[in-house]
Amino acid sequence: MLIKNLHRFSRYSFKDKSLLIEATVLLTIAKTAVTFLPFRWIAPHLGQSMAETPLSDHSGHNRIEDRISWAIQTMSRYLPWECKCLVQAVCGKLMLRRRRLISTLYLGVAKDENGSLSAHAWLRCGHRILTGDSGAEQFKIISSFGDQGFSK
Amino acid sequence: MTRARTIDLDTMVERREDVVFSEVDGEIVAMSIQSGKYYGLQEIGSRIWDIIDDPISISKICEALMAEYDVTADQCNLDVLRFMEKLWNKDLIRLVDQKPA
Repeated sequence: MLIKNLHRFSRYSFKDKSLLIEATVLLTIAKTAVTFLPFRWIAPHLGQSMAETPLSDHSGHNRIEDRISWAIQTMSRYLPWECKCLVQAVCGKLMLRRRRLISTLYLGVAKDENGSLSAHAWLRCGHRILTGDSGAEQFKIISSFGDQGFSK
Repeated sequence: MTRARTIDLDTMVERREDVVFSEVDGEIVAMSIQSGKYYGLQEIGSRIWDIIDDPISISKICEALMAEYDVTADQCNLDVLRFMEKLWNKDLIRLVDQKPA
């Protein structure tokens, strides 16, 4: 299984390999932070509370956003620990910030037919949802963290 | 975490600024940025959350509820005090003369 995965990895382009490695590192950082740090220490680094970034995309960046989404979702499947929605969203935000791209991280809640609450996190960049897309529409947004932009 | 101070009917309370909330299927769900935990307040709790959008004493909360629900003063006071204690322990509200934590 490992051999098969390594073989598959070796066949990616250099750019894609770099992205996968970057996603691995940042997923690990995000997972560690989310697991061990109180949320109030993490929240200020996610962006401005209750703020949202514009829906419009920077043309020409679309491809990198898609590749980032792909890299995170790919590595989330292959890493030996669980990378739940918040971990993926935080990782995505970090990867976008390294490229000076702004994004909004959303936290949402939903109630099932038994009245039990569940929460979900997803990341939007422009009009694309890069992580946590599946099922996001069922969740009511309770909080958003939007980047304020980067100084030139 | 329970606190050393107890709350009573004269205590003034207000929502903490680091709490976000939204209505979900007829119920307010409040999330503390402090803890990252979220809570469904259910029917009465959601009504109380509406009432405390400005600082208010617990006795005034009880007055408002008794006007809307069929409940004795004693039962209402007891239930509301218990509920506000929970909100306080979960960092969803602040006691008004308390310095911000």
